[in-house]
Amino acid sequence: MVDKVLLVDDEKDFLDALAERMRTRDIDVTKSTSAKDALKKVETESYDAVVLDLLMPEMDGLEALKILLAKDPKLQVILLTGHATVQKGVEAMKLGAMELLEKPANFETLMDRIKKARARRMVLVSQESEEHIKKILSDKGW
Amino acid sequence: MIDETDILGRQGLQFFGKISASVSHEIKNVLAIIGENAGLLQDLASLAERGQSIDPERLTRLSKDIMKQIQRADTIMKHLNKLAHSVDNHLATVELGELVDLVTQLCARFTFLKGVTLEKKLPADPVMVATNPFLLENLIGLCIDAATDSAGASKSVMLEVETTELGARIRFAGLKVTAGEAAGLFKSESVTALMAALKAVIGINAEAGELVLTLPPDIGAQ
Repeated sequence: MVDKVLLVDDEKDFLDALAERMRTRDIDVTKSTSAKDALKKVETESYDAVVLDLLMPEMDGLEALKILLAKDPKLQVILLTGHATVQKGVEAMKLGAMELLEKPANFETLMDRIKKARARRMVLVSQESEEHIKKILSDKGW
Repeated sequence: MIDETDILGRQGLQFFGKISASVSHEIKNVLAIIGENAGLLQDLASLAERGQSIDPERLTRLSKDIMKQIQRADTIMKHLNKLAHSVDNHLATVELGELVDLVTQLCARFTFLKGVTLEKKLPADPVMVATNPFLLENLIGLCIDAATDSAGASKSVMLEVETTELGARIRFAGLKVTAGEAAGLFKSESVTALMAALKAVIGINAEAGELVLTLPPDIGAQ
């Protein structure tokens, strides 16, 4: 199964280049140039990882992160930023981001984090399914 | 005791720091794009080594994308260099249209993040003023900040440079401010110190949705 990734960045040229590079590695990439558009996309599609720019117009990355995780707590969000500060990094981690990488990020590092994101998401999904089955079993009294 | 020079120095450093931070952020974005395109070229070279044919068009496009980003970085650095050199002389004769153009370019990222578009109407004939270039850039930057914070529903602010009988002015139109809000703007000690040093006057017409920065033709003239 291929990894499914949502890339969110207001820099269209960056988005195009990174998406094309990911596709050469057989990753299923969807692009969004705004946080608002990304929020709509996660409502209709499921992604292994979201790679999110920290600084964008209308809604910044941290605000978008909060809403994304409220919509889907299992979502694995990797923040990518041109100006990472320790404070922002700590804030992002507290909010539930999987990782914060500084631009220009090493592509192999990003690929590694996407693989890890997928693995973490699969664990969370399987835990949720297990709990769901247990609940059905206990509710039905089987 | 803090005097006016300290206030101007502190404000100047803040302005320079803010612009430098924005420029470094933009440059990192440019480097990230160049990095991804270079990486993609490397990926394509690896595929070619393994016998896969590569469309030359794709290589040409990648090369053009890299050149575009190099051009972008060059423009950003030229603007920063101009700003850096504006501290060379405390008093210099500058063309106001050019100076406004430079500050709007340097502030473009902030206005973009606010979702506001800056439009410019620069004069056909040069508008020359003898002033302190760095302090004036600083004051125009603060006016852009205030104007974009108060942008009306169109989210567009128009800057117009004009010659007046007593010097020159820059109009910032497209604002939505109440008279009360207007009265509260530009009261800080740093703005007051900048206006005094530049002999500048800032007026806000809430009804017209306009901020006007008026400048004398020569700050050295009595």
